[in-house]
Amino acid sequence: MAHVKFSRVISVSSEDSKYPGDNLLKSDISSCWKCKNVGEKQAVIILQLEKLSQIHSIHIGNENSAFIEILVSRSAAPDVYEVLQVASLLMSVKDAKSDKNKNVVRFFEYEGFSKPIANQSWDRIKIVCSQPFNKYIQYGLSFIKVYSKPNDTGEKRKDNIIDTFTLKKKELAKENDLKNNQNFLGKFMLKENEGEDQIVVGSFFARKNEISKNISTAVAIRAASNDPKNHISNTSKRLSDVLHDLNDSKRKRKNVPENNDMNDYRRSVAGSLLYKDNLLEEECVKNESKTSTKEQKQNENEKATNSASVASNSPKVSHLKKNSDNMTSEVKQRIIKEEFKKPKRKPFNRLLEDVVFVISGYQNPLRSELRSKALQMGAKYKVDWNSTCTHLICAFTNTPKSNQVRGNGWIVSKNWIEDCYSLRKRLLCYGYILDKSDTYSKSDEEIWEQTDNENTDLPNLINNSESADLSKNCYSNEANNSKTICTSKLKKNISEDDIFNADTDVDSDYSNSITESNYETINLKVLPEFFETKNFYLGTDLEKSLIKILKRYIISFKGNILDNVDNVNYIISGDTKYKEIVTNTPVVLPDWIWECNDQRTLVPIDDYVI
Amino acid sequence: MIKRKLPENSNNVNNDFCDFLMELAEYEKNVSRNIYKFNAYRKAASTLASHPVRIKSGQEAKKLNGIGDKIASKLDEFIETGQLEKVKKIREDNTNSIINTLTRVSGIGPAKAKELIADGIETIEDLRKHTEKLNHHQIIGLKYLEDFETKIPREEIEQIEVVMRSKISELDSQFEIIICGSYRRGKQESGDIDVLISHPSYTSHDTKSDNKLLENVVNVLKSCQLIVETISLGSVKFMGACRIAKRSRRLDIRLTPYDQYFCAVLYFTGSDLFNKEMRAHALNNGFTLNEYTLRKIGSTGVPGEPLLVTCEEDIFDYIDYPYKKPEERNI
Repeated sequence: MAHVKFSRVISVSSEDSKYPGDNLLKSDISSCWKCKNVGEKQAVIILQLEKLSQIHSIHIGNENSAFIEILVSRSAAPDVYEVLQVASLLMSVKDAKSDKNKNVVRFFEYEGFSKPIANQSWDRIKIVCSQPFNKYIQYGLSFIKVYSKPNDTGEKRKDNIIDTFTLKKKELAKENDLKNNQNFLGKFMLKENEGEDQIVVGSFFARKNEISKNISTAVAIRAASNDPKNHISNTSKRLSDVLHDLNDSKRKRKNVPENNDMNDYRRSVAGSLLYKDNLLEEECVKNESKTSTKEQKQNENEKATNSASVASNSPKVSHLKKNSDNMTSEVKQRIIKEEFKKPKRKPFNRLLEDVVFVISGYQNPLRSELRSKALQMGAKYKVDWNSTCTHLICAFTNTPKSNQVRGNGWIVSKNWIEDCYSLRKRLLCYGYILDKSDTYSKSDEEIWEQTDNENTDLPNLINNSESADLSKNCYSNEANNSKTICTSKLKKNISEDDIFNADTDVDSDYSNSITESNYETINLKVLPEFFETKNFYLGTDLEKSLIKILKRYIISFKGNILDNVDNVNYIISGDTKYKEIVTNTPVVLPDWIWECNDQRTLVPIDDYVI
Repeated sequence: MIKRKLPENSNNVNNDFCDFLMELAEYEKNVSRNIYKFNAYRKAASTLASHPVRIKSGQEAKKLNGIGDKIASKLDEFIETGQLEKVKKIREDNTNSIINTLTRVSGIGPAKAKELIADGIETIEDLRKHTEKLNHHQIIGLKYLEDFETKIPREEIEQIEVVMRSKISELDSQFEIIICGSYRRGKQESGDIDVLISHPSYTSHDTKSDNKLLENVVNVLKSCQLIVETISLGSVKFMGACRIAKRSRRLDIRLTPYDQYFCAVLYFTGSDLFNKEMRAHALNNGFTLNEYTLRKIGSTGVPGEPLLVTCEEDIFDYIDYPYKKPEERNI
């Protein structure tokens, strides 16, 4: 243990002229530091250590103080003091009142220090003494000795530096290897010395490891800026081609079931991308051209796709810094991940199973409601934040709890729980982040409910539903493929509280449009149009919510809804009065619509006529 | 939770005020689930109960601790009309009365009661038919509903204490045993029996979760037929029922680390309002007090190391609060 000397007294709250703070610098133990007046609330002295040290032990000689607290700081940030040794007793009440045992010596050791603080190096030390039990004495310290660890931190730090240095070297070597394999890309030569700034493709496809190529984004961007128009005009077509390939490969890899209508899928993919094209305009140029350049390269370098390049490429993806779009690369990455990931499914009671949450700012009864909802979905509740927690359900920004959590976990509003619960689906936290400046992002995923019964009866669903918004219910049941179609289309109509919008509204329009199109990309197949040329009249006896959802279904399948009973093909109602009014038009129960939807065709009405 | 009783003051001149304030308090706790309003009403009722003269107006009452504008105006309304609109409404509210009924069962709180109401259960009879909706604790609570609701006379607890002390010290004479709660505060009757035990081998630095201390104690008390029912038994807390006379009584036994014994004794002696006041006083003097420790709060708000406490008086001394005997803690 090496003794660390003090170089000077930086400050002292007060000192008796006979017992100044400087006495603590002397090795002579007989002289002490005392505060100036009796009954002072606290006495503070700040000492400068000779050098930056990791403190291992502090020996204190008391002079009438009841409590001592030791804080540390660095000269570089002199106002930020961290507690090293929490307030500790030097004298009991009885001793203080009877003026006994006023010169106790206490050794504070590393084991008792506040842990993250004790592992760092400090060069300032602040002592806070107090004597609340006896207001009639001057108090202070008689000595203080600070000891550092035997092997100081200097060497260690050198090691670290070496470590990172060699790492970097290795990385560079790797990169060079890659470049040697592919020095030319079309007419662009890859520069050897692009070094760390080099940005690698990753914007759209590499990240999900579907296809990945070794290509410098910097090159791609340059290529794009050389002749952007040229690229743009070709982009959409190329993109669809790329996606075509992509889907093929996807099918091969993932064994997508045969009955999936791949053509439709592709068509919608291409369509959505075209749509994106229109929307994104210039902002898109960079990324699109990247893709197109990639495609070029793909043609030239078909064979170059090997697993090694995939592996070496993917880590760099995250370094996409050059894209000064409004969107951060992280966000993009996330969106893209979702775009192609098959929805993950879990039973309802396990949707949030890896979530450990803390609630802040919500009062009962709301609080317990939130808690029980989350618990029902398999989350775990903690009263206070600790390292195992993942989510803070928080009502206000800037609460002590949220400040504590900031950067360590998701801080989201209660809507996240409520929406997950009502949609029966784990939603991305991203749209529910309370403070938009919070940059925390980790393990955010969307999980859909696993429904055992693939053919859940929609009418039942409606009857059982508590939520007024039926579309949400359909949505929750998306396990049923047949419903996916109409619901996803419906989704577009209810854009206001649409979770996909919620997810991205923090970003620019750019991401918004991407997700929107991305949505179609995943789920949308072409709707059958079996209600085409059919006219419907919805009976006034039906409930409003039911009418709403019926309308959606009918329109989805290209039916028309008319306001009067004349000239309609079907009357949807449960009331027999229509039978009397209109004799030649069938009056059909709403169940028929659900059956049509389930069967994907125009079902005979016989069973459903009143 | 045992329903809180106001300070025993047979000649309470403000009795009727206290009654309606407590009714409002219960409503806030059970139906609105707003614990702060509950506490506010309770505090006001408690202040009025110990006020020696009958108050004549809200204005006058406002001078007292815990009574502000809102409660003062309610007092005025009561003085003028002899009743309170809000109380009337509460009494008409069916949910409130059902919750009050269901929460009579030990283990059923307002939240569970609401759940039960949603399931269509509204009476004790319904509960008896649907025990599958109840957990172990609640089933026992239901089984002994009348017993647990009956107050325990002081003499009976004294008998139980004698048995308990002799049996436990037979097992190991080093055990510290104390019955806290209203019994320690000198009440003539109590709602339940709250026992605190400690042993020198069990400290906060050395908390083996597999310690058998409490289990052994419970086994001894079971074998002498004092304990007749176990609701739950962990390594530090036992909940159950005991019987020495006709009725079964709710019994809690807690094992507390030796070094935290006196903070625990102070805490479990209560009353809860007294604890609140004492904690608030501690904070004012730069200390933080809970059922485990007393600690000095550092200059940056970080609580310090637990202070050495050798008796209850030490705690009062540290935070400079005049010592109150247990009998004086019935706020």
